[in-house]
Amino acid sequence: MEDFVVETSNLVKTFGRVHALNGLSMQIPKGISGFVGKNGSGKTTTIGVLLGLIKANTGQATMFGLDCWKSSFEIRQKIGVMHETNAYPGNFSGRRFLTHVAKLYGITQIDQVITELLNDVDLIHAQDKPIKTYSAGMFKRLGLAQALIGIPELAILDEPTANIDPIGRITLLEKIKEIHTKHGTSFLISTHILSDLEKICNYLLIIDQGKTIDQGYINNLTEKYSANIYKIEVSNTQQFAATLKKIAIIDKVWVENGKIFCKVNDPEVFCAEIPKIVSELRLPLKGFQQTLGSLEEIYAQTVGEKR
Amino acid sequence: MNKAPAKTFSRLVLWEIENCLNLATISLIVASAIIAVLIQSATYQGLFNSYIPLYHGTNIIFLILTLVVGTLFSHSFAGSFGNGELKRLLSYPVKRWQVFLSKVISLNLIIFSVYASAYALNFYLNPISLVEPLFYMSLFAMFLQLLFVCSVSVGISMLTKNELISIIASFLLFLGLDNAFGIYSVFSSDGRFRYIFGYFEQITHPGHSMVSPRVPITFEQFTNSILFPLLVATVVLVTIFIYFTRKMEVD
Repeated sequence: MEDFVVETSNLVKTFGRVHALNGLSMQIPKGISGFVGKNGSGKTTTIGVLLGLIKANTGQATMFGLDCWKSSFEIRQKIGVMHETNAYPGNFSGRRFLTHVAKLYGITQIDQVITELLNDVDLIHAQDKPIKTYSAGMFKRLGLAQALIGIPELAILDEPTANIDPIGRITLLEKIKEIHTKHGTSFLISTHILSDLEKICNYLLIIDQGKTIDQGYINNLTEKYSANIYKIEVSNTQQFAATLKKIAIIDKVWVENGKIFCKVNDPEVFCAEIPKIVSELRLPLKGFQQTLGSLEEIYAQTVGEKR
Repeated sequence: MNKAPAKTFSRLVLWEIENCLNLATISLIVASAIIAVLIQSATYQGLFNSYIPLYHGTNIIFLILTLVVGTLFSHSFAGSFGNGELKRLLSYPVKRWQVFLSKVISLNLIIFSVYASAYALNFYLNPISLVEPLFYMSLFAMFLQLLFVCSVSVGISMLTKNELISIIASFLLFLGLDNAFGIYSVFSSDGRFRYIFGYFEQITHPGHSMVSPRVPITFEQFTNSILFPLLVATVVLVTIFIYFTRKMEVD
């Protein structure tokens, strides 16, 4: 049986009339996991529940087998968190701030630990500058540093790459991967920038409207969602799509950016049918291929299907 | 990695104190305290009795103190709630009671230290003896006012979770209480100070009553003036403490 670091079952959380979580069930294994969903899908609320900052109306959430609300203190000793907002004391220097955090974790040899961390996140040059003078990228790296103090078993990062430039994003993601390799720290990364996750994650959880849409190892998800999906380019998209919808072996047909996508349950029969349809409709086939399973496609299919 | 048991509470108190000692915050506290004391002394300097300025003009100090305390506690609680600082703090291995008490204790400590130091200017500005008991009684009354305003501001902060509204609401509330009840009630800051100061003056300086009108102040009025702010502060702080540690959600 697989050892999960985070598990939730049927989490429900409402704020007044707003249903933030709608029976969310998930399992996060060790490694780097992506937590994906559009804005307002319930990602930050889920993280709040996991940290014991928000109490779910019903359902259960555990980390390392401990109840997230009742044992939140014990859990927080094992994890590091980087929140989306940059609420750091602006008048402190980066080193001073990290020293305070390190003391809260009871770390000895603080200077050595912090120097190593600052080197890891490329902030050593700005260690003595007041935090209020940091750029957006530096804020994020400082956030990552304070989340990694004490080498936690799990680091939860909420939108770590939001509002930073492409180079900064790539650097940060590389750092995350490097730290995972170096220290074995697991990561749960919440984001809506899917291309970021593709580079580093091995597990993916997709949520929408407070519910889990799908979850699994990225290889499995890619296989699952790309195997039977085909992309077709023709001149008359609507006519072709309407014809495809009448074929029994096709589960779903949708049009994106002038291209037809269809999910089929028997690829062999489908491939044999396509030439017949083309000749019947007398439409020239500009393109026909099986899709490659990028995260964006997986996301579009899962969340799109739900809609 | 080597870890030792963290002295979390003392660390948090030191963190809060260091956080408050930034230029803007400390300037506000120091400047307000000095201005309050200078206004008080300048108004009544040169009169025949040396401790008169301690009584007259205290309403100005209390007014400024109320505004400063309301602002700083609203910033510390509602402000940190709004800007995500509280969320970050509660994501570290700290207990909620430690966060709550560290904020309350550190701010009270700083504000009272600065105001007491500024109040000590009276020793220089007025010919007051270092052992003048009314000076220390006035400081005690100031501490009670600080505790009272602190508890109400924290309460409003936790209710509204909005820094600006909390500042305005707590200031207007105290201004309203003072105006509504005047100097003859324990519900107003002036009234409480008058009873505390006047009763103690009767004991330490019999026959030199500065408290107007010159009618004897009873022991009951004196104790009520001490008990009322203490009781309100205790009830409000305990209620907010229970809410903060057991119920509050930080989203």
